[in-house]
Amino acid sequence: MNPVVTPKRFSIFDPAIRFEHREFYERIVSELNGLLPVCNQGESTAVEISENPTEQEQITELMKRVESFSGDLLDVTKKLFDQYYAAKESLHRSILTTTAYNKINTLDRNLLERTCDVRWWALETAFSACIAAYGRGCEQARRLVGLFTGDELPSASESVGDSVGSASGDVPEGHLAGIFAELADFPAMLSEGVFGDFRKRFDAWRSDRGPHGAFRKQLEVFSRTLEELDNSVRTSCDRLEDIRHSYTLYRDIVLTADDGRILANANPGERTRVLGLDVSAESWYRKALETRNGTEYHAQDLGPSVVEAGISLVYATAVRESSNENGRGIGALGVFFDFQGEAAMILEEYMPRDEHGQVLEGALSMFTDRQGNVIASTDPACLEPGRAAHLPRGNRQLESGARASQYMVFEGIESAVFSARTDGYLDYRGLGWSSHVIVPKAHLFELSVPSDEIGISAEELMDSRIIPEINKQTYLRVQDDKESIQLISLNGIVFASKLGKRGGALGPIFNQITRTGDFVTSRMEDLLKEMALGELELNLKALENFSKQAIDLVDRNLFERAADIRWWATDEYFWNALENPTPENFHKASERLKVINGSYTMYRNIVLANDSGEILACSRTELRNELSKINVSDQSWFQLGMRTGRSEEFAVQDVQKSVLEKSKSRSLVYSGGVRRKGARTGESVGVLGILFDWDTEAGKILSTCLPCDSSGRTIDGSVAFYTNAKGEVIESTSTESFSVGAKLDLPHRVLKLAKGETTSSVFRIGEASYLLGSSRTKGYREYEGLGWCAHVVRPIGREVTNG
Amino acid sequence: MEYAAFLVGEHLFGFPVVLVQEIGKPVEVFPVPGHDPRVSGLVNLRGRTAVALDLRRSLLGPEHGYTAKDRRKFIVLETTDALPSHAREMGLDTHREPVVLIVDEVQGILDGQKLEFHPPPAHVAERHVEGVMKVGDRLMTLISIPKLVEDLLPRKEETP
Repeated sequence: MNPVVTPKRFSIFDPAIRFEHREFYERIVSELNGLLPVCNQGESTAVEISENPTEQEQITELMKRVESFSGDLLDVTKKLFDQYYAAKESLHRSILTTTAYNKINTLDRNLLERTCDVRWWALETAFSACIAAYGRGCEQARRLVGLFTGDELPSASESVGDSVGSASGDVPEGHLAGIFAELADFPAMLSEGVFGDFRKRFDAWRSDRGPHGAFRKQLEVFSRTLEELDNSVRTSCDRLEDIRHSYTLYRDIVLTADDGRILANANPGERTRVLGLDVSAESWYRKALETRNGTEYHAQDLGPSVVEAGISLVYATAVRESSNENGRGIGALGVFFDFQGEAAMILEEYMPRDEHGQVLEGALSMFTDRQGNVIASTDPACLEPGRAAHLPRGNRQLESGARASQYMVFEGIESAVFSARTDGYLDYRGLGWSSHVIVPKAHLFELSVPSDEIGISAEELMDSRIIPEINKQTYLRVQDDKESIQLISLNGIVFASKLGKRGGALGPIFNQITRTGDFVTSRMEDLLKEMALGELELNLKALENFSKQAIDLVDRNLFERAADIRWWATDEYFWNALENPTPENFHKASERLKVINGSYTMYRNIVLANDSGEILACSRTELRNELSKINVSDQSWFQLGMRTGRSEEFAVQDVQKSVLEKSKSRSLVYSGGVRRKGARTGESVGVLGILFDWDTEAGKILSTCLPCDSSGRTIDGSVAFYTNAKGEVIESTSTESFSVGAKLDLPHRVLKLAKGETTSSVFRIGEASYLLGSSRTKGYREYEGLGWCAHVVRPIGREVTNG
Repeated sequence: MEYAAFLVGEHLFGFPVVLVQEIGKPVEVFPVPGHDPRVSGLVNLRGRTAVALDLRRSLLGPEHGYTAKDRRKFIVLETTDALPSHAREMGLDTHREPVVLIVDEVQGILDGQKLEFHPPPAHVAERHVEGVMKVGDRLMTLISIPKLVEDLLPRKEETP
């Protein structure tokens, strides 16, 4: 996953090295340098106290070994700093490039849902009917205008001529001319309410002074068309509003005819301005009409549109004749995604924060488009949307799915930039955008906090598999050197004591060597422990991030489910069947559910129950007989669904066994009340219930939230799982440890997590110990979450053990 | 007199430092079949072969022996012939052949003049225990090297 990079070597003179460490190094150097005169003194003392050349040689040899060891120790110290900083750098790189990737991936997962939405909605019959009515209106208006101006004469030309003539004689010139002038620019009448007004005036003129004969009949037909169009526009606007109420991440949704005129929109606040606008010059509209069937869509990268003031991200597809997915394109549906709002939400996440919870000074995050221009950022003052982002070339020109990291000076601060480019999500290929996280370089090398709270000793940590082999080897080497120095000193003292009184002069020399050796090596051990703590801290951080990712993705997914249920519960087939409960209507409802379920494969079944809890239709039509024998009036999804009073409300039954699925041990059911005539408020006449394919979808998310080593392999023994509010595992990547149904005795700090909070700890179950990262749900938009937590663990011990 | 203080298991032991030739890191021990289990085997000390004694087994009991994973130190004893004259004058002795004592850790060299000496407690039967010295709040058991070694490496009839 991560590119293989030659590890950077850190010299003690590298500006990244913290002053504490530079001081430390100076101290070691001066201590070790202090040994040289001591050794010289030892050698001259040897000559003073003994005339025996063998004895002199033995002392000299000991001194030489001390000198050589002090050189070695200096070397190890330098390597130690290199390892210390390289480890921090690489862990941060892994965490922050993953963060950058997750941001763009979260956005793409969201946008994939938008492509599904637009394709599905475009098949709504109200929309094709509205476009058809508008087409008829245009056609009839053109003919009427032609008659009036004499360009196109009807077959009964005489009577028409008379009628028009007589009409023009009786009606004030201005009035008639005005009506026909308006008709000549028919699309201009699309503005909100204008049709209604016009029809009143038209009908008043038609009945009082209008012509007679065949021409009168045409005027009547036209009047009816106007009425139909007026209703149809209103219905379409209502449906679009329903959509926008259910799926709150759209600023607007517009329906256009094949002349590029907007017939209906979802945002009532903008309706007066938007209806009738001509978007035929806009690329999203033209590309939408180029789609060949209902499975195609067009994603229009950010750009201006007459529909709204800001920069728009538009997903569009054609509305097809008779809402048949293979029919001819007769107009377009364009959804205006609230990109800026959504991007701001995503960019704010995962940012390094100070102790007050504020995003760290100098820590920034942004998205750039294919051309490298900023499209959204956490600080528009220095990363201005629309401007080219000043980034190192390597971070600008990324391959699909690639990640990069680089140092650079940003806004005067020595910083590190971590970038990742989208590789799309499932069949949504993305728009070639990249995500970038900028943090001050100093942040990467901050000192770690003591691990007392985490509940693991430095020794246990040094022995664990969290610490890379190379650091362990250095640890052993330092301990070995420490032992060697101690032995040299001991043997020196042994030697001196055998010289009797003569040896007394050597005592202080060996004591000095012992002291220096102990000091240097114990400081180095401290440094190694500090380094181990740093690794632990970052490993915990990585697990926290993975758990947060796991809960965020499930929240976002379940928001979509909450949106789906709210929207479908307003569908005509369902309220119609419940109001007119004939077998034929329920059959139609079942067929409709089947079509929906065919497009939305994350549902195992969709059921429609009447107000007494009888299941009368379902998408899995082969189960209809079986389900028709079940009464669900005692089920919480049904009861809560019946109690919803508005179409913006939905209900959910937490993961548990359900009578609807005998073969499954766990189901997750969302429900919404169905109201008479699909009204937005009022009593429910039945409930629509959707059975989310929980195990499959949750399992898929969890499997992407497991920690990996530097070569991208999932770390052995790591597990990701969800627990419900009672602490029971409701889905897990493992069937052995932390498996579904297990009730865990989670650490206190996990239990007391508030909404949206994240923590990490050492988690011990019996003999096994793990690092644990946990996050509690905070919900997403209208989906408030069910108090669940996501957890990611990796084992600490050297052996793989199961909890 | 100065004493080499060392740990065997949790216990502190000591004997006169003048009997020590060198203190070193562990080297490979070649077991010899048929040995007393308290004898670990033979070691090669710069070309000279020495007998290595497992002091955990000797002093703490047969179930406490060292394994290769344990942190250890090797104390190489002077041979009787190589002892400095002042040591012999004090009546000290080691063994004629090279011997290595395997211990947990060498604690340091202690000055006997600053320590309080007690004769061996009455309940101690082992003849190699010569007495006890107070080292801070701990007690160091003084052992007689010749007696300890002799028990483990009895003089054989055929030895010249």
